[in-house]
Amino acid sequence: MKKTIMHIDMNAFFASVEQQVNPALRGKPIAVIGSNERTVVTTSSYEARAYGVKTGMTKYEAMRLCPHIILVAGDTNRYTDTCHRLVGIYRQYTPTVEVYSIDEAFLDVTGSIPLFGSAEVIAKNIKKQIRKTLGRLTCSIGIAPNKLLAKLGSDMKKPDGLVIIQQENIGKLLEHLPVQELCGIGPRLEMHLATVGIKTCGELGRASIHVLKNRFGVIGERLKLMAQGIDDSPVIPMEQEADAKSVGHSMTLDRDVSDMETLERHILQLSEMVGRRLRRSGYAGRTVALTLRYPDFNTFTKRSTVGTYMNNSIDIYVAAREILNTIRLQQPIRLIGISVCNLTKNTVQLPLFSTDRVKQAATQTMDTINDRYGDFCITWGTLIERYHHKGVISPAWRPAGVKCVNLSAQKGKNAREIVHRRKKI
Amino acid sequence: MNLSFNGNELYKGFNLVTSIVPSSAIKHILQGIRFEVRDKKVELTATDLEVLVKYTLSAKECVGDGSIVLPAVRVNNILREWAGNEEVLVSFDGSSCILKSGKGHFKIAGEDSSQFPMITIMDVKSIVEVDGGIISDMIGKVIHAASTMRVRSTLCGVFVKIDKEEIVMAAADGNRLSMVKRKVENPDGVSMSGIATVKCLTFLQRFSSESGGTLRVGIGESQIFFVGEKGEVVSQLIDGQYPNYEDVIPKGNDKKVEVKRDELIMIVRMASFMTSEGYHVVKFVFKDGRLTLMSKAAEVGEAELEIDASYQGPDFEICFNPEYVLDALKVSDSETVVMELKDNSSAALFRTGHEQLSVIMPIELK
Repeated sequence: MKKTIMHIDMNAFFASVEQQVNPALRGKPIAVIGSNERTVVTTSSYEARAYGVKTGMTKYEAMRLCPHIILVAGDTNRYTDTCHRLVGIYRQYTPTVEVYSIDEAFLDVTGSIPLFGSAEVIAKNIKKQIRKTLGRLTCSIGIAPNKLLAKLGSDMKKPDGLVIIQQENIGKLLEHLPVQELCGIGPRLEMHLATVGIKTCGELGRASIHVLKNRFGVIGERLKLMAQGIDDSPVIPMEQEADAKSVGHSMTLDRDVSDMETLERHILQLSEMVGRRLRRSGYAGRTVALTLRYPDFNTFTKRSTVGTYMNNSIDIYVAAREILNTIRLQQPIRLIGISVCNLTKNTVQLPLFSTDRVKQAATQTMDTINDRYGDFCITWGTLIERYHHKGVISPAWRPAGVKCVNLSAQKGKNAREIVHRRKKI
Repeated sequence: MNLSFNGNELYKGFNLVTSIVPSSAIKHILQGIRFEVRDKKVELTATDLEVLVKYTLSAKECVGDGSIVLPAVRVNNILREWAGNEEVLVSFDGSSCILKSGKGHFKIAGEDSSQFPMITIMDVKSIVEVDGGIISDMIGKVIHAASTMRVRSTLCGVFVKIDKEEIVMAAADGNRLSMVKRKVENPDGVSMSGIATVKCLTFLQRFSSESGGTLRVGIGESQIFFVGEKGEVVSQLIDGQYPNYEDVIPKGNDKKVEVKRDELIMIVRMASFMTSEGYHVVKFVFKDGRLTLMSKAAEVGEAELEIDASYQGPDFEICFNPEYVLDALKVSDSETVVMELKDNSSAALFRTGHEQLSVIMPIELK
């Protein structure tokens, strides 16, 4: 059956949300940044983009290009909340909504067309409803027979675009389209394709399958299909997302760190974040991986597998610290990441010793308190004063399930305030 | 000095001691074996600084005294090839060793034996004599349950206790426990205990089968030693307080089920075929004199297997990690095993033989 897929991409999402919340920012060049000293621009408004400000620039680079730019420390709570509301709007038109990232979603509207008339009507209704309920947020919508082309469509007109790609126009559209315009072909792949003389989708679509397979392995065939506008990947609603393969967090440190005590504190904090997410979603894992990045961006990961499944933050911490102890650091550390894989879900191996059961109960109680008052509200003494998460949202964030990370309440100050208030009570 | 050995005898002794040599060591000399001849007695010594092993070889001929440290893996490889030879000749001075057999010979660089670290038995005050076979058998019955998580160092070893007329070994990893008791002659009423390393006990199993006979066992504050006719094993104990294992052995489990050991092993093993890495669970269902095992895993399939069981109570279900159950059953010598159960979230007791049991915690499904 011929499908109709819609891709909705919110325009300058974080910046638009900030401008909606604070009218003084409207019409002005703004850039949303993290609170970290070494932060980068996560999104800039269209007014700032006119000066050449781009995502990924450091705040100093942005200020050099646009001296009167207004830098706004991002509030992830606003963005995740807006994302939840957007999904609510999409779901009024189809239950098959795949949240691709915090500001992008795929909708399979094939079954909804008879109800609403056409995909174009649905798209216009969604735009209207966003404006009505969320204010000055705009989005670009691509409508096409598959996800690949729908995404291409939404990228073709920004801001506030609506592009419909009909089956009969695909060949013409792709013929001269540079390969990097397709979702999934990055700069490196583009470079490799250029070395075999392929620059446009038309050329890639006509290329010999043997040449592509020899050069790119298993993805060779898929590349050829992509260039022909063929993509049969389904829109996967959140409820049907496959079980997680691993759960992890990483953080770029405020400064490069070489002293073990500080590194261990960061590892404890990351272990708690990973442990919390594992426990919340009913996962436990046997393998702990520690990722470290040096200031020269040389990044490496070491793993350790144990006999029992674990999701207790302290167990993860100890395993990660053991890994750290086996590494002879050659430079200070810029980034630390911890992940747990080899996962099991919804099975709880009961502990033998009562001390472990007490520990399990204490962890459960801590989780309940943190669920209610915010992450890190009750935590280890070593973390409470000095460390808190910077609230940078990962591209893998989802509104529900194991990829739903609550970053809003991880601010040390708020947590301390709550603790103090509770002590007084 | 000149020595003559039977090829197989020399290889067996050397290979045994080589198993204690660390594969990588800070001190290079630890990757060697100390070869010492004194008063016609040939002694091999190896250590990783935690466990030290001495093994006495019987030489066909022995002339002169002396000692040298030989590279363990290289010499072991040579001796393996000559294991079938009737005679292997060994001669060495302080810095090199010559090995001869048949039409071949090797000249091997050695190291100064005075640099080889030795562990002396420091704080062991009393000893008890136990049959080596019994010790080896006991180790085999519990060692599988020792933890591999270094986080809890005390659980990474086996608790050994000698008290009154009993020797007890217990091992646990936080989710299951195995324990075995045997009678010993203890005329002096010696009471001692400690946590022995898995490496020490694994070696001791091999050592007692090679050495045979009676072992004299002593446990001090920080060391455990075993002395046999052909040598000795001295090991550092794991520092710390072993959890009170007796507290976790359930006392009042009212559901008692007796099943044939071989039948249970077979169905647990078969049920585990239908589990996956991420879902290693087998459900035990007790109903009207039958035990049914069920397992299923997404994208793998499902299994249902049944055996007779002496159970007449209300229907009852409990889930276990099949590996834990198999580990406990495999080391049983008994024809039947008795499961003592309470409910699906309490410890299950598997009586797998005379004075031998395993406690396995169930898995809760959410």
